[in-house]
Amino acid sequence: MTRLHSWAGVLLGGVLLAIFWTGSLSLFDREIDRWMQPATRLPAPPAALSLDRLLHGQAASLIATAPAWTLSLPTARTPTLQLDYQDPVQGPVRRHLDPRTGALLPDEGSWAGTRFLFPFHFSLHLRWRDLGYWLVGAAGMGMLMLLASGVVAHRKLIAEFFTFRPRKRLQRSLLDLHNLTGVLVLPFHFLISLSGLAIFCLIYFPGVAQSLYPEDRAQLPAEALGAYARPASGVVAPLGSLDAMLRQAAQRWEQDGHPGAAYQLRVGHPGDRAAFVEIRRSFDREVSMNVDRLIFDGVTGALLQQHRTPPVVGVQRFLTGLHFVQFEHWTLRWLYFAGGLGGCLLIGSGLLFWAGARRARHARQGRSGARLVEALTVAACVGLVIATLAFFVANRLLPVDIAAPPRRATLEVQAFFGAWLLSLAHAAWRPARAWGEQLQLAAGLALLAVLLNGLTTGDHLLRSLSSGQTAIAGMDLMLLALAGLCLLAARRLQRAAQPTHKERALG
Amino acid sequence: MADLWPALLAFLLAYLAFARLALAQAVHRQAVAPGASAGRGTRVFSATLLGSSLALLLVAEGGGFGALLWLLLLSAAAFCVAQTLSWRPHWLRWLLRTRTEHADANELR
Repeated sequence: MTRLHSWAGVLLGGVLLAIFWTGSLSLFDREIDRWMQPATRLPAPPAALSLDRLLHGQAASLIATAPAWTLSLPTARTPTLQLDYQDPVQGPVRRHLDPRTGALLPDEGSWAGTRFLFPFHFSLHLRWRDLGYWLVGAAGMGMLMLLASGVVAHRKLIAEFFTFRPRKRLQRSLLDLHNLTGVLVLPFHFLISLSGLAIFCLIYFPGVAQSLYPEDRAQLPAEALGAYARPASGVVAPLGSLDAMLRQAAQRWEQDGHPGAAYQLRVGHPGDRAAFVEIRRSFDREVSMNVDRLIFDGVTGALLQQHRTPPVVGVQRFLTGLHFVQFEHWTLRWLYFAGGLGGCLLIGSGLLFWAGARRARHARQGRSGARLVEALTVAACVGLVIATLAFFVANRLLPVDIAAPPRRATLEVQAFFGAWLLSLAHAAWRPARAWGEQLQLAAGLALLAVLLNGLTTGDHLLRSLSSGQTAIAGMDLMLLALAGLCLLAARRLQRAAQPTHKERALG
Repeated sequence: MADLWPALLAFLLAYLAFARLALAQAVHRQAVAPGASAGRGTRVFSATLLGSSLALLLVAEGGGFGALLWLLLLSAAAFCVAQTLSWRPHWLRWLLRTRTEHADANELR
């Protein structure tokens, strides 16, 4: 069991760490969005708004030619009206509107949290044949197996349930930390891995849809999620009042005993006689992400179809909801963040312990493989942090290019992967000093990111704190905390590299 | 701020429960107050506290949020107990009845 645990850990550790890290960051993806897209740093949105009045001018002309578009209403975390549509040239486009005036905010060309870090968490941005989804799925299964085998392999589970000895040898402290986070945060890690797998059950078991609906696989999304479509008529007709549809939706949900506001509208074939509007019910006050949807005729505003979350789908949506954390609950959100970082600590300390246990022996035997694994470990742990910070710093350094936003977004992503590769190269080149030097670099980059945010946007900590911009202040404070943690870790590793007299005497 | 209270209270209850459980182990008792004896009824005490923290959260936050909060707060509380034991063990001394005055003088930092 020990052998299985350590080898599976070494093979999957890097991927798992990337998944846990980006997952933890995704808990604050909207806040990262505000930080990386300064134009969207708006005050809290108005309580009531009129879509019929707001969707005019530039915004209306943008979506005039789109075959479909989606409008997400402002929330406490996203103070903008978010417009998504398919552009014939650019592909999928997301723009933000000011919910007060309907003015189109400039596209700053950054995928930020919701479109880079979050998709990285579940797809690793490997789109080819869904390879990323499968890798993440395999890592998720591996995590469940590692948790179970870890508990079995643990020799003193009860005796060392609360034991952490930070002042002992580094290897001892690391193993204590690994056991501590592994055992104490086990319920969360188990639940989050399991629910993560449940989200993509249809990707991992494609045969299910086929065997349930042998004639027509499209019936599954229709029955489970209320997916609706009808062909365009080709006859031009103006879109009816969206406000009236929203009012009607709220009334209907109230009658059904599920009072709640809409969070999103999807419009199909706008400007056509066969236009339809799908209105989705918000899930900000419950764990489960309901799929309650109403479909209205886009021209007349008549109700075409009502979908309520079926019970079996409800189970899957509960697991999905407890993984996605789309509800408004700040205590839980921070606890999830702590749990996610606990996972990073668990995986990182495991990798570090594994490398440390073999370093001396492999050096004696003159094996070259150990150097590669060590370099991979450095890149997987500190390199990942550096890559993320390079992503933030690049965002603040690259000039906004209104003419070609996707190009700037691509450059940011290249900064992320470029920094990651450089970290790997550096670790392979200077294996002995890589940990310390890279941790110091990470601390410097985090400080630089805070500094650049203050310089380029004017929202330095004093101002963001005093003006109540909690997203920006929180992001800056977290970056400062990260810098401090990196310096502390660098010092602890340095101390371990130079054994004290006492440790020498003890051997 | 008002909605923080149930979670905070539940955390304190869980922390106390885990601290008592940890002090039932000789190693930790030794670090906190050498020579102190283990109190009686640790299991009942801890189980009651953990149970009431769950009940509190279920009532105050509802089934879904309450259960999730409890699960995460348990981990957080146990982790904090472990950290207290390794950095500031003497903070937990009041939970133990020290047998002699001597043990107090023999204080471990």
